[in-house]
Amino acid sequence: MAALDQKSPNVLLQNLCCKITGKSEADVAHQFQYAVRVIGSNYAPTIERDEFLVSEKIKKELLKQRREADAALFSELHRKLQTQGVLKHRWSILYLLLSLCEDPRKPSNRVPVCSYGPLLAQALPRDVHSTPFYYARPQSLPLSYPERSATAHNSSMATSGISSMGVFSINGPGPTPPSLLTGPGPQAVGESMRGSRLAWTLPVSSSPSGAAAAPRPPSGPSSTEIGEAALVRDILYVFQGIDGKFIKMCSPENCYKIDSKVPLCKSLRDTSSRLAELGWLHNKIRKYTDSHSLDRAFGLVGQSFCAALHQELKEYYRLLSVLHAQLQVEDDQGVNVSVDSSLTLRRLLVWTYDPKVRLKTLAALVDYCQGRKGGELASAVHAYGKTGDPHMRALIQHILGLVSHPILNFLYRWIYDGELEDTYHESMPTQLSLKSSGVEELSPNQIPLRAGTNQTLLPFFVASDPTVKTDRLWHDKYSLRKSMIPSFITMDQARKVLLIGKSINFLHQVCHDRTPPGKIMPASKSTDSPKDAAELFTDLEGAFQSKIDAAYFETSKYLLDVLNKNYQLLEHLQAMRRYLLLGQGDFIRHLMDLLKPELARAATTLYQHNLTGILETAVRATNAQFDSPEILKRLDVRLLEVSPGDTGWDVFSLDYHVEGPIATVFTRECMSHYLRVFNFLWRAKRMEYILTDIWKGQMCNAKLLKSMPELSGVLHQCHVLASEMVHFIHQMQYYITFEVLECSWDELWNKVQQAQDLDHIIAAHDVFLDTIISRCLLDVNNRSLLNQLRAVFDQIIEFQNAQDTLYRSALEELQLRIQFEDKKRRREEMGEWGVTAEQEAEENRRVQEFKDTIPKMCSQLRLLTHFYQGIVQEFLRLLMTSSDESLQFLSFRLDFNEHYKARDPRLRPSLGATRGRRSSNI
Amino acid sequence: MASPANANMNAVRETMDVLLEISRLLNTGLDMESLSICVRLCEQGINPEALSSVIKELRRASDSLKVVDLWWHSLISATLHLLVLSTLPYFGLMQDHK
Repeated sequence: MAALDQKSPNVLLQNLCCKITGKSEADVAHQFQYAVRVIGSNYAPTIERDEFLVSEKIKKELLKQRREADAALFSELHRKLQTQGVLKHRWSILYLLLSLCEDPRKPSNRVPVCSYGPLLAQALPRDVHSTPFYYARPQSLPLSYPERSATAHNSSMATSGISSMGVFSINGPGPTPPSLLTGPGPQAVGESMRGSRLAWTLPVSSSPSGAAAAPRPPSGPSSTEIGEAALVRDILYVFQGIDGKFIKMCSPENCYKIDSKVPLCKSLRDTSSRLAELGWLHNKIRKYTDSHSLDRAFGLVGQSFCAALHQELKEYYRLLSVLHAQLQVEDDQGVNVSVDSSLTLRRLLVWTYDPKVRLKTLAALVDYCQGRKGGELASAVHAYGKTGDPHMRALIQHILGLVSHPILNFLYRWIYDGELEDTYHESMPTQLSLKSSGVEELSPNQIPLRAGTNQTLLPFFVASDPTVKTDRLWHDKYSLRKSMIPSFITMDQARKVLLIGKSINFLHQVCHDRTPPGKIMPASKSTDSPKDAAELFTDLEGAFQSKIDAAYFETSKYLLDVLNKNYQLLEHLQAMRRYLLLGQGDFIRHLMDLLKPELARAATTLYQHNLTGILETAVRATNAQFDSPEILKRLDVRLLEVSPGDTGWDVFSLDYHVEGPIATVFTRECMSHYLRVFNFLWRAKRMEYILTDIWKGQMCNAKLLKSMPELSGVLHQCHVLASEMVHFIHQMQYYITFEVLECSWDELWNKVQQAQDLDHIIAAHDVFLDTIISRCLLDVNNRSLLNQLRAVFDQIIEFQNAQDTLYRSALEELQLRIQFEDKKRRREEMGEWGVTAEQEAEENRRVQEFKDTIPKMCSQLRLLTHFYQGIVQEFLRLLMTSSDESLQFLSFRLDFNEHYKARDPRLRPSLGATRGRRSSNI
Repeated sequence: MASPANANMNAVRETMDVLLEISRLLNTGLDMESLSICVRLCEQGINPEALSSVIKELRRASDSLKVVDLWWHSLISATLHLLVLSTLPYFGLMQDHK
């Protein structure tokens, strides 16, 4: 045997022809030409070049012939072939051998003598259409291959009402489709594609036998002038949307009309009209896909929708091509062909029934989805899938999977990377959006564009505002686009999704934490295939929710960990409490002690660095020094704006600097609230301080001034007033410290400890501040109460001043008298008169003067008392009518012995009324 | 001692043997020479589908021709037989008469 030399293919072909036919070269010219033609026209194989599949097929073939030993032998030989490695195109040889394989049990299908003439011509067209098989192959219908049913290979399956057709069981890895032309998704098609391609060779190898046809029944009315065949041809064109000879598109009425001039019998006309509907549906869908596939602004979801529609149309086209091929076969075979194989309108009706149903669904879907984009489109498709028809549902499910795939991609990217993908890197003009803070959604027209991104193209429901800086990232940068949320994602899930992405961005940009999302989410997966997308969205309660929940928990936990460990959020919260809300009592007291001489001066003479120095001293001397330096360095003094006539007390304030991620929780508004509350608390504390001084003074001087009995009335009045004020201030302090601050703080602390994400913390903190402000009378509703309180404070200061002057003059007088007595005694010791008459007279005069001033002081004090009590009564009345319960309880406490009620008639009915009402409620 | 050319030839021969065996298993009806031509064509990249259809066609054609031939041959042989039979007694008789 010669080695495989390189002869030209033509020569080889000629040799082959000679060998097989057993003739000399001259005689085989005809066959040789034919061979060349076939080989030349069919150059690229349509089957898969998979050696493994071919060998499997061969084994199956052998097994089918019940030759198991031979199958094992073949495997052995195949293995040997593979190890030798001489051949380059093993699969091709094997395929060739397989296709030439003949079952020894089969009856010989050598062609009978008569009709070999047209055979050569006939074989060519059949082999030429090597189009990949639509899995429901009408070609496999026993139109011209009636003897196939006799072969052992086939098992025809009854289909839905179309019992005359049999579907070949695909002798390959693909599953057998249950019914002929119904349409599940292309997954089944894909699998059966592979199988069908391989199996295709087997049926084709058996020869077409026109002679074995059954006798032809008369088909169709033969009396019409326009033959059914011509109509069929027309219809096939109409199916594709092209006007046929007789059936044309009538645009005003948007339907296909048969030319009325054409002589057609009624039944044919009706049938043609019914068939033409398919063309109309096709046109509709085609128009939609054509117009939108070019529209770049349509977005990814729309484009995947168009792609899904296109795929369906392709399947439809395949069916049409097969029908065309059948028509062509008939043409080529001329009149000889048996009638069973011809295409009639009735046959078309039956075969196109299922495609028509599918196209109807698709056309309805197209109508419904007109003008929608992005998430709305997905919602529309989803809404359409709520139907009872299982085939329609499957179709819609498939389309939904494809359509929601980009959304899912975005979702995953957002959840795991925190990025909004911008695939369109065109430079679009940037527009600034007019977005007021606190508005959660933007209409799609108002979305601001990032330079280089057109966000309206993104089918995602999270939008980012590029004009926002990092300090407001958490609050303002990301928002939900409600219109874009698909209907199968609930609002709660959408919010969680927003939160997750926001957290990741926050971590990256504000906390400067660059851990890759893989660490945060150990179970994160990359994007799934469209099939997974559809499955995910069908199982919304299950898989999708769990995915989002998992991502949400992990990310939020990580964020909170970072905030607490690296940025000590909770410590700062506590520090705020201690310093700005006067929690650290010893420090505040000491600070006040140190500041008292400074702040008594006019505000314009104060210097910040002096005060800061005093602050430092206070810190070092008290327990505050044990706080972490991180906190202490943020503590500072702030001087408020100076109005004329202010003392230092009016402009002093503490301050706490926040920056970075903590500023997200302690925003500027929060800080201003804190300062207001500090102001209020500081004032109240100061009142307490003043009263303590007053009391001290009173205690000290009481003994001293015992010797001046004329002052006792005045002093008594002072004492009474002072104790009233003390009581008042004590009750206020109690209220503020315990009912307002401690309770709210406790609530806040609990919530913060249990918080699952940053939003919770921010919300809890805001609630805390709001409660404090409303209870400290600082909000708008309680302005009048606050004014009253301020008035009370002013009175206290007045009283302090009055008392100071009183004591000063009293003490001065005392001093003078003591001096006088001293002098008298000394003189007497020296043997002189104690006092001269004029001295005594002078002394008496002075004492008299002094005694005259006492009534003035008395009246002054009385006035003060009166004022004070009036203000307190007004305060009490306002408290009664306030809506906050704790304030009402405060009024209880302030007037526990109904001292004021006795004085003020106005208080009585309201007290009685409210108390009566309250007791009935309790 | 096997030179590379010899080794190559051996490998080729073995391959062809294996292929012939497979072809016999599958009952393709190809003999060694046709098989080798086919192998060469496939190695040069010819589409095996087309090739198989050509081979089938050629077989059909040759069968039909053989049938015709057969018919023709049978016709001729029948005629010849008749002739012989018709002339045979003539010869035999003549001999017998001698």
